[in-house]
Amino acid sequence: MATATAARTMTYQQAINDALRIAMREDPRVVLLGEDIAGGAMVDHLINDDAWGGPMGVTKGLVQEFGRDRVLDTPITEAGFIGAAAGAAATGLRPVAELMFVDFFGCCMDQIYNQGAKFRYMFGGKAICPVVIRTQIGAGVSAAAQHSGCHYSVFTHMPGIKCVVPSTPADAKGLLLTAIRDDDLVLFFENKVLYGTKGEVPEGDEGIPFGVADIKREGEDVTIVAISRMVQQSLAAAKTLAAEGIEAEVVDPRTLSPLDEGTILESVAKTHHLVIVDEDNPRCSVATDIAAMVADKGFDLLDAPVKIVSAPHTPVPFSPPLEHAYVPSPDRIVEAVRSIR
Amino acid sequence: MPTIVTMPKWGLTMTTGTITSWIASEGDEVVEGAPLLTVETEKAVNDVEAPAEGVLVKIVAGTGDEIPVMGALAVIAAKGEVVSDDEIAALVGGAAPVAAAGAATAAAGPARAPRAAARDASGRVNASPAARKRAAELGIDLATVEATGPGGRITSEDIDRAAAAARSASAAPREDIVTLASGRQIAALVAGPEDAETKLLFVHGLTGSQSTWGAVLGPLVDRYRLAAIDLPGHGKSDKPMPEAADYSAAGLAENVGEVIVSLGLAPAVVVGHSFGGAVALSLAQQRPKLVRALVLVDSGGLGPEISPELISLAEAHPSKDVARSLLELFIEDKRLVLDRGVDDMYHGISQAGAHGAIRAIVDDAFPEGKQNLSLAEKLGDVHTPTFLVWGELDRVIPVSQSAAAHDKIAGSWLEVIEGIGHVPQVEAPQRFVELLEEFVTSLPPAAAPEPEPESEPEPKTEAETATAEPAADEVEAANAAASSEEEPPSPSESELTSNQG
Repeated sequence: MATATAARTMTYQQAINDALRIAMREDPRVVLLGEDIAGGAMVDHLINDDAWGGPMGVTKGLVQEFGRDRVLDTPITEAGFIGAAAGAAATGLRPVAELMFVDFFGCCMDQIYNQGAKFRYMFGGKAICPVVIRTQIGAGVSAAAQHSGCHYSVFTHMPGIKCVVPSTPADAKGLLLTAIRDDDLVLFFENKVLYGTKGEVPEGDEGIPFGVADIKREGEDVTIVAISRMVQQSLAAAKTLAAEGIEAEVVDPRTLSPLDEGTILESVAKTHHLVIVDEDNPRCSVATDIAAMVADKGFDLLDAPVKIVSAPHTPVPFSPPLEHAYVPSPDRIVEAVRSIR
Repeated sequence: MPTIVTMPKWGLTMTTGTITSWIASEGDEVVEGAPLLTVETEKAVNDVEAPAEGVLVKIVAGTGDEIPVMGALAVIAAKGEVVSDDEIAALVGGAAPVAAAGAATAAAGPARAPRAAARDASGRVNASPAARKRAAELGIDLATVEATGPGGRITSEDIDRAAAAARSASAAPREDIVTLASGRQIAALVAGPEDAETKLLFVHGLTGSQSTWGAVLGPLVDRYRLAAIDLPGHGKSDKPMPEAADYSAAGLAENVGEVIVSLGLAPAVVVGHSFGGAVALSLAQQRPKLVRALVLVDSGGLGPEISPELISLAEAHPSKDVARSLLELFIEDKRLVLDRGVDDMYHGISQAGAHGAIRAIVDDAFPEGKQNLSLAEKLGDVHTPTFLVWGELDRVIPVSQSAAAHDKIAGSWLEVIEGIGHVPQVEAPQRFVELLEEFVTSLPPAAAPEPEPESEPEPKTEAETATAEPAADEVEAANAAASSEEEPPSPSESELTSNQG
């Protein structure tokens, strides 16, 4: 594997596309399945159509390079193509399936948690399930209740599934490369609001290891553990707090399963204050799980109650003002920090 | 270049002085050392002298003003030098009074004002888990800690602040009284961080007091835990009748040992001046575990010669003339013999019981005009790291004794300071501090203090000494020393009691 030596600026969406292309070039077993991921490209009677690349164009251009045998358009049937991905993985392929919105997981949950996630366990390691399910999460684009949830907490709850929540273009590329090379079922959560965000992305094919949190900003006064897009919200909050003399440390776990408990605890050992920012619904969530972990393993580190800033216990509203109020904002994060400092 | 006159620091505990009167006036020509004004402190009234020759161009503090140590008092310019008001203002503004204790802590304090911690109905203090753990580690009582957390919650920062305050409170100089097992009281000035690795104990000489160390304690107090004591019969310590007390070096060393244990200084670097050096040496021979190192300054106990003038002055009826003569014998630079010092000395030797005590010491330490050699004869047995510091021109105990002792004490250091007399800590305080720090820094780490057996302070009888097993670590120390073939030190009855003759 070559070591990344340079970086270039690209969007979150381009970074994912870049990772898919690198993985497909390096390993012929990598195939893509999903709704409209190829579109009309290379179809005789649709000669003038480009590849759609899915509703957000993330896989755009891949069908031209790798052909329709490796970039497969599927019917609108999550149970079918997610099940096909799991089966193909068991026979030796490394499928990357696109579940358009995570909110659709109800249609294919048996295939995910009762099949794919249990192969390795039930067959004593003789079968593996190297499937990546890429899926969109997040509110903020007026996509309404059925296309705007986060729900990574549901999958983090389940053994046998790895959960990845990149917050930057660089993390998206590095973590997706690792996900495709991993022998287990990986849920790769792409926040749709981040697709257009730009950042420096290393060239090359270096993966980012799972279970290694990234400190996105160093600070001495409070630890903010933030997930996915909430990292960006927390960095904005940290700027406001810095003007008040409070230096926040923003910790991005990057993967929820496995979770880098050590980095979180080390940060809390330094700051003695913890705020967790999570766009998912608040009950039985990743946020409550991290809070419980710190209460258990870091009780003596805490100078204040652990605060959680999350979405409310409701579906995502369609009304733009309500949707805006639904997503944790920098102001709410600042307020939570002030309440414990 | 004009010179600024600032409030002097006459003692470790002095923080301010009040101007009682100006002796000089603006426009006066002054010579260096001329009295400019009189200042009253908690303890005394003294003159502040001109630090330089020239013209007193400006007085910036008036009669009745209370000025912090190092605060500006006046400006002296060279004769003919013109000093503008701006220059004076800059000079005066540049003088940095010593900040009142606690000011620094307040500046670094939290955003929220500390206040009483909240309690629940049962009286349980509201403290965070981290604060409770930290308080337990540092031995801080939560009930004594003020809270800065929301809702009156004590945080770990509050505990750290309380601990720092407790540390600086214990580090602040205080005048302590140690009560010995005999019921007698020893006065000690105690200062410096309690948790400092190196602990220093200062023992003055005949007719002296803890004030002899006044110029050297200030520079040391930030880095070392230190104590300066008044020996029995001196300063503010009890002055029992000679019939009722043991004024031999060995007897006084027992008292000093008790003080070291009582003040938690063990093992201490014991700095002894003149006869105080003999006491320190005796302590190192009696209770080596209490003495991490010895600094013997123009020390007694090392050789036979002693100034006959000292003996006759010590035996003379106390008077101001006697006090001045003593200081003039001790100190080579006569400018350093200040009226203040004479008054201090006279006060010391004329107190009830002091003269009897001093005579008792002279009788024991200097029989027939020579020093008692009981300590000097055992110098080869000293395995404590030792530093001999001497004034080249010492007229009380000749400098030749330092070289002889240096030869006998294995691994000892020797430094002779040129051009000064018997009292380096007064005549060359900066050099003295440098040398002391250099020596202390070279020492191996202090061993953790270990409790000694209760019976050890008592001198052993000959029969006991013959049968007693030497303590294991004493044997080890002796074996490790260069003269390993020699027997471990075991004081015999005759040596100990010969001090009484």
